[in-house]
Amino acid sequence: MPESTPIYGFTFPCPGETVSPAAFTTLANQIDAKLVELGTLTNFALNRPNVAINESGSQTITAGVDTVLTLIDSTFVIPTAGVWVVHVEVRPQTLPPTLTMTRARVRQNAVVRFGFNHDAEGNNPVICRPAGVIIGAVGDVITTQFLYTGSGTMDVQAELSAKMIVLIP
Amino acid sequence: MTFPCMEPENYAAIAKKLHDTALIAEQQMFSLENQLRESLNKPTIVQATTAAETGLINGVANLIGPSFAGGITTIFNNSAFPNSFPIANFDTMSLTLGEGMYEVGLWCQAEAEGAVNANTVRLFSIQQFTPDPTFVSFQFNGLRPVSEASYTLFEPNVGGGVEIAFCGTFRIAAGDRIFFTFSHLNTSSTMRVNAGATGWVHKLSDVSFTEVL
Repeated sequence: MPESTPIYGFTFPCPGETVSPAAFTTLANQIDAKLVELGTLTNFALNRPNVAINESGSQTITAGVDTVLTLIDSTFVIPTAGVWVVHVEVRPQTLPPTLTMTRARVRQNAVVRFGFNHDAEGNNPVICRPAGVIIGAVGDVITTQFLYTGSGTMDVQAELSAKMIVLIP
Repeated sequence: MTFPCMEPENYAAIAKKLHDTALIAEQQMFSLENQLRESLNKPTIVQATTAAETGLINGVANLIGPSFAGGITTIFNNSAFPNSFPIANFDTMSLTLGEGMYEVGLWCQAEAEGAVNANTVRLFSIQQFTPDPTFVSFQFNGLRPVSEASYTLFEPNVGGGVEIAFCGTFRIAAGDRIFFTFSHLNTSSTMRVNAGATGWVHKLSDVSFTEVL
């Protein structure tokens, strides 16, 4: 019966055992597979996933309606399980008749994780820049929702950046 | 690693050679994997409050977030830091994770518990203090302020309070403490920070890798 190493379970024949060519193949393949895994980790260590997205175009928001942004590239899908720091910036582009408050919130799979609001009384179109942490799984969808109070409509632009600070094994 | 070709007189040693090869490969790969995983999993702790922090009076720096002011839950922790302990207020975090460069962040929602004084100040801070027995201040005797990340908001006159999510970079020494604080000038009522206020700390690097130009 072959035995194996204590950590990775690389298999090898015991003394006295008839050594077949398969023993070489098996060990080589096991080492090779582990090298591929280490190569992936090396790539993450040297090129930690980061993203910066300037969401194209602008979107019209109606006063009082908490609206999920649907700008082009406004949805970020987490590519690697990990802890991510996400920054979002939502910039008012037009001025509504009256403006009292702006708020941007970052959502993970439609659940609000963090946000930021500003007193905008006096029609002061303040940029909202929430920055927070998200524990993400592969495929989690990050979106932004924006609310302002006042009247009329307002066009906004947005951008999102995210950096993976921890790789979850 | 070397793996010389076997000759007929050495066939009996093949099993031993494969055994040695497997162990050497494992030893070298395990060392490399540990270094890579350490690089990719810098100590990081994310905690949230489990209850509202209430009765926050105006004109002073109220302790908020994951602190001894209320219950906490640890959402993520890849370090030796105890999950039941708050990352703020005590020196446990810096003593456990060690001296280094850190990113520290806070998200919370603050609302008036009664009447709102519209357009009044809401100041949120992440403060770093270091032990100094000779230091006397109105805030903490024996703790000298080192650094701070702050944001001032004004409460809009539309209800719903204020909400903030921000972070800062700190050079923290073992024994230092961080505090999440909230000051306001809502004189007509106390304020509260809603449950779910989230604080997080991430060690960017040891200070030995930090070059100050």
